[in-house]
Order: sequence, then structure tokens, then C-alpha cells
Amino acid sequence: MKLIKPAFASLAFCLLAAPALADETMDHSKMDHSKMDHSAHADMVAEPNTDADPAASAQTVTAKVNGLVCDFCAQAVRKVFKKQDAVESVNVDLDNGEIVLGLKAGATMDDQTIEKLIRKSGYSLVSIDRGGDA
Amino acid sequence: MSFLSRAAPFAACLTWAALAPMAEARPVSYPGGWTVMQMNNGDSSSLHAHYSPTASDSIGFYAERNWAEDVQFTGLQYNRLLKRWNGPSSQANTYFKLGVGQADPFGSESPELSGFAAFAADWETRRWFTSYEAKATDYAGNKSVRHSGRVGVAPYIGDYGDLHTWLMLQVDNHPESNEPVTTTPLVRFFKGVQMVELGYTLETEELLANWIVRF
Repeated sequence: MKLIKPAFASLAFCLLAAPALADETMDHSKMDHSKMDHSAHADMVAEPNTDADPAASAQTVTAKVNGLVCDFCAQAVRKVFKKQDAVESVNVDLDNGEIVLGLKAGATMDDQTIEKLIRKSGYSLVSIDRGGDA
Repeated sequence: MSFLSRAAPFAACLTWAALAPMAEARPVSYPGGWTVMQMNNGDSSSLHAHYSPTASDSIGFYAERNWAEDVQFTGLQYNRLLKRWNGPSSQANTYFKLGVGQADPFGSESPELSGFAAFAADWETRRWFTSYEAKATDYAGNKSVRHSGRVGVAPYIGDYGDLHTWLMLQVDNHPESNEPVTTTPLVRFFKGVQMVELGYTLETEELLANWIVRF
């Protein structure tokens, strides 16, 4: 009897996780969708995507920063910004002295906060460019 | 007590600090960052582990075994970023460092209150590097002043995460030493959070090996 709950939980996990795992591991870019039969999709009715609110889309913000000359500088900026809930990714471009922030869907970060965090990291903000959707 | 007599110890400390010599790379990290530095040359070996609560301060443990002065120092070190100039493709810094602890002269059973103060400055781009450091020590009554300067060039420019290589020349001045002026060509390898320096002091024919990790 004691085995039932773990077994059921394992089965439920497999059923729930399999599609997600498959989505993680399958590389759709290598599939040739042109050879697939999509005729059955014709009966489907397109429904509005309620998640497609532009304001909720992930956004990239590029900050031009003075003083970025080495990997320790890049690491400092990455560590400080990665602690922010709104930040999904931080890329540092030493060649151009830029920090590219990827914000989480629906998240925002105002210019004042970005400037404050760059100053907190030890560097100086020059300008901010909000590039739009990621 | 007159103003002058009150100000004298303070002025003495400031003067000592201003004259005080020494040289280390970036003694302050980002807020919440830890750094471990292990340095070795012909005169001494040292270990410095510090924590930075802000991008302008760090505090940590410092231990040094100094063969040139026959003494071992153990204590706390505080580093302060005095001023940083951030340019479009350059950065310059000035630092103040203060250490307080105890020194055990080799062969002595009585450690004594000791300390040091240092001033450091550096300027670097992704191609060029230069630094100066002055540190004054008082290890168990043995007072000493050192000056150290470096110039460096990166033969190629790597991006973040690449292996960076620097070719450097370090010149040290230690008036009390048998070799008051020494020159040490060295190579610096820098990748991610780790930095390693290997060099050879020409006058004393001794190796230099430094290692820094920041996390």
C-alpha cells in the first residue's frame, strides 16, 4: 500500500513532465515543417492570445557605461543586475562598453534604477537605449 | 590641550598613510563580492581574503610571512576606494589600505601590535596598464617603506570570458634592502574570475607568483 503513492506520483510526474522535457530537448530548428501535413489544422479557429499583451513582453535594455575595461568589471555588473527580480539575462559587451539587459516578460526597470545599479557596481551610466521586445 | 597637540596624531597618521607604499590589483570588489589573493615573491608570501559590502570598501583577513624582515604578520585589512574615474575606454582608481594586527618576529615568543598603511593608484584601458603603490609597515617595531610601480600592455584584446594576457614590468624600491631597486618582468593571465601572475626578479633571481580569485 505504501508503494502506491510513490508509484502514482512517479507516473503523474512522468505524464506531466514528459511534454515539457520533450520541449526542452527537441531542437525544432532542425525539423522540416514544410513536409508535414498541416491540413487538419484548417478546421481550427484562431483564438486571440491573451498573453500577447505588448506591455507584458520581454524587453531588452542596452546601457552604455563608462569604465568597463576588464572581466572583473563585467563580473561586477553581472552580479549586481542578476540579483534583480526583473532581470532575465545580463550580457556585457566590453568592446562597445555596453550592458544588454534582458527583462523578464511583464517586468520593467526604470532608468533611475538602472543608473543606481550601475553606480552601485562602481561604474558610470552614459545612456540607455530601450530596444523593445527581446 | 591645544588644537595642534590634538591634531598631531591625526596628521601623523595621514602623513604616514600618504607616504605609505604598496601594490595590489583592485583591492575592492562589487557589493557582496569576495576576493582571495595569494602573493609570493622573493621577500614574502601573503594571503588576503576580503569581503566588499559596497563597491568602495572591503575588509578582510591579511597574513604575511616576510623573510626579508624575519617577521610574520597576521591581522585585519581595510581597503577604501578613494576615487574612481570612469572613462569611455579607461578606468583610474586611487585606494587607501590600512592593516592592524600582530607581528611575530622569527624566533621571538612575544607578538607585538603592528600595522601598515598604503596608498595605491592605477590607470588602465583594455590595452595599457599602469599602477603605483606605496606601503609603510611597522612590524614589531621594524619600520619600512616600499614603493612599487608597474606598466603593462595586452598583446591582444579579448572579450569578456576570453583568456586575457598581459605583459608587465614591475619595478620595486625598498631602500632598506640589499637590492634597493629590483625589476620583475611578468606575465598576467586573466580569465573569468581568476587571475594568475608569474614573473622573475632579475636582480635577486627569485620567482614571483600571484593568484587572485573573485566570487
